[in-house]
Amino acid sequence: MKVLEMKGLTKKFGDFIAVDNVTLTVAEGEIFGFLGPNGAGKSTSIHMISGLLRSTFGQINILGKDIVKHRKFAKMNIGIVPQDLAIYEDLTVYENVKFFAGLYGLRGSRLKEQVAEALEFVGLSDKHNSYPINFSGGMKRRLNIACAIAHRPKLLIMDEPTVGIDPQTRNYILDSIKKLNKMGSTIIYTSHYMEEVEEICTRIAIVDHGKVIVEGTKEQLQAVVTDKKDIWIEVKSNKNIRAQEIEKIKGVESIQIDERVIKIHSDMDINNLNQIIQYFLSNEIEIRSVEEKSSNLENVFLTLTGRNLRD
Amino acid sequence: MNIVSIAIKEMKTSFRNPTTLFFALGLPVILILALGTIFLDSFKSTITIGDMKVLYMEQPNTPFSKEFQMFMNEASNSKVFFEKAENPEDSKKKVEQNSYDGYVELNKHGIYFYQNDNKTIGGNVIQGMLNTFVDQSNLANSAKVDQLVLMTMDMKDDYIKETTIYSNKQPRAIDYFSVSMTTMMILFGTANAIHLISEERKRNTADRLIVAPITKLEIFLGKIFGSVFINTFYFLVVIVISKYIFNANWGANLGVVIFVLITEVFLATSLGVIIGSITKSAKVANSVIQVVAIVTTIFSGTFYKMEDISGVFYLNPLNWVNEAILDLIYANDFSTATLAIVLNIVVSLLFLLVTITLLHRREGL
Repeated sequence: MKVLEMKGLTKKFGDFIAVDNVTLTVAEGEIFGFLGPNGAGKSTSIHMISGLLRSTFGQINILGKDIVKHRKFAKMNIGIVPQDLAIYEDLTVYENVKFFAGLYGLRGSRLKEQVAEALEFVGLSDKHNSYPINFSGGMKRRLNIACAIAHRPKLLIMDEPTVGIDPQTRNYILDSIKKLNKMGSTIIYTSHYMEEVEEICTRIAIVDHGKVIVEGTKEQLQAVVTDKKDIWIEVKSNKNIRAQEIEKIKGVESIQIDERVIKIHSDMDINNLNQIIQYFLSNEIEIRSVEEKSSNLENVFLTLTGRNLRD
Repeated sequence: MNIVSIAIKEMKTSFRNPTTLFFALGLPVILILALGTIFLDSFKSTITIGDMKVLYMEQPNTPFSKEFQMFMNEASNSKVFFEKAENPEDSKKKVEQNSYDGYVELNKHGIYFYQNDNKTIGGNVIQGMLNTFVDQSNLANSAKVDQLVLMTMDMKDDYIKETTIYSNKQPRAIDYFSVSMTTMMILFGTANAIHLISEERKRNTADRLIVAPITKLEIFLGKIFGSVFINTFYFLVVIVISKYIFNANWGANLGVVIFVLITEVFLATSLGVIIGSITKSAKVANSVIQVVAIVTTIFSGTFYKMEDISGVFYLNPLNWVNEAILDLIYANDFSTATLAIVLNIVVSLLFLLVTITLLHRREGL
């Protein structure tokens, strides 16, 4: 069953086209990844699906029903975890979840039961009478999720929920998404971190400048750039490395110099590893390790758009 | 039901904010006590008046002659001495020359009291005593003779006016500031109301509210009702403290006084939301509200007693509400209260209508 259908979705802000004729479907049980750099149109699309913004053109269906004609039905079946924390710090944990769940028509024992269930899921049952103002960032993030899932939405939208958080909380959120998915939720996950999308999403759409560049499973997307490879060389210091000289080596397409790792994007068919290593040795750059990687989503994006996801 | 949930949430978040609590409860109570003490002497209405002399002339067949003789004897205990006049015209002249405080003429229709407009205190005292006499006589003889009427003759303008019973009740400083600080605190609630919607945007909860299956109107009304209820609770606490701890006089029409104040809360909330919705940022909204607060407070009887509120001064909500409440407490007069209630409600509805229209046009909250 199609949980979400976008047909020719377009959003204009004056002359600027934020989302340009996007057509996508998300089936029941999927974790659908929206991958793209900042300003690609991910959040605008999400805002239109959740009813925060009106589309300029196009149609959105939730569970087969047009969200304009069946606004209440659509909203009843959507939960959203916004990028920024959206909780009341002067309400207790329990009051926060109860308040938002109550807006979805839950009352009485059913409301209590589902609030308790959501708090249990995010591991905040023992904190239900605490005020989130005293919480760590990670605990606030968990409460943020609980507020979105207590009414048991069919479609859960998570808009860059891992931006600016510590690795532990990030892992917790990713695990939660997998668990929620196993429990039956269909999830739309937006991010500009390709590692996260690669890890959890069953299907991915890469967006840029408001358009869907490519869409499919991780394997389908990687197949787009099977003729490329990445060579990661760990060095003691990047002092004497000149990118222009490495780029002159046959097959090398681009180079990224980090503090200790040099990432070289190269043509798969050209065997240039010896020449690259020779460059490092002749310039007395100490090599710690060399690793050849097959193409990832970062490369897919780079190949299709000519720029990095985090540019 | 969603409106109730939002209203309850609004009340909880307001009540748990220490700053709001201080400004809504602590500050007015402190100001009532401080100003009530500092201005204690400014509100004293006791004035020492020396002996007062009154000329009188009685026409034959005056039905209440005997009672008036008794009244004159009693009046001498209050240092008001009556002397029999020889000639009406000569008596009036003596009053005009300040030799006497008044001239009273009695006939079968009632009492004519001539007073010199330059000596208003003495004249008012005598007039008040005559009023009391007339009232008591009317009560005692209502079934036997026609009602007595007291006619006051103003010597200066030479016209006759029928007097009404004059209330000698005046507010003490604590009474006055209990009213004015309460109304000021309510109007300053506007400062909180400007953030009713923008606060949701600041907390990022606006998006959660919009994606929920409720309408913008439900969100808006829930917030308005929540704000009105919690601010009503705050001023009720201030009234209880001032009435039962400071012994302030809130009069015999407390129910109507409270209703007037509720409509003021409604007005303050509506004013806040309209300022919040037409200004582009919270900073601008705060600046606007500061100007409104300063202007309304300066040109009102909040920190001093305004004897005459008329003309452009009546356009100040603090003035129309203060006057309405003081009239209810001290003159048992409902007319200014009715006007204040109508003004508060009409202006509030107008503000809300504009805000709802603006909100409807906007994407998101």
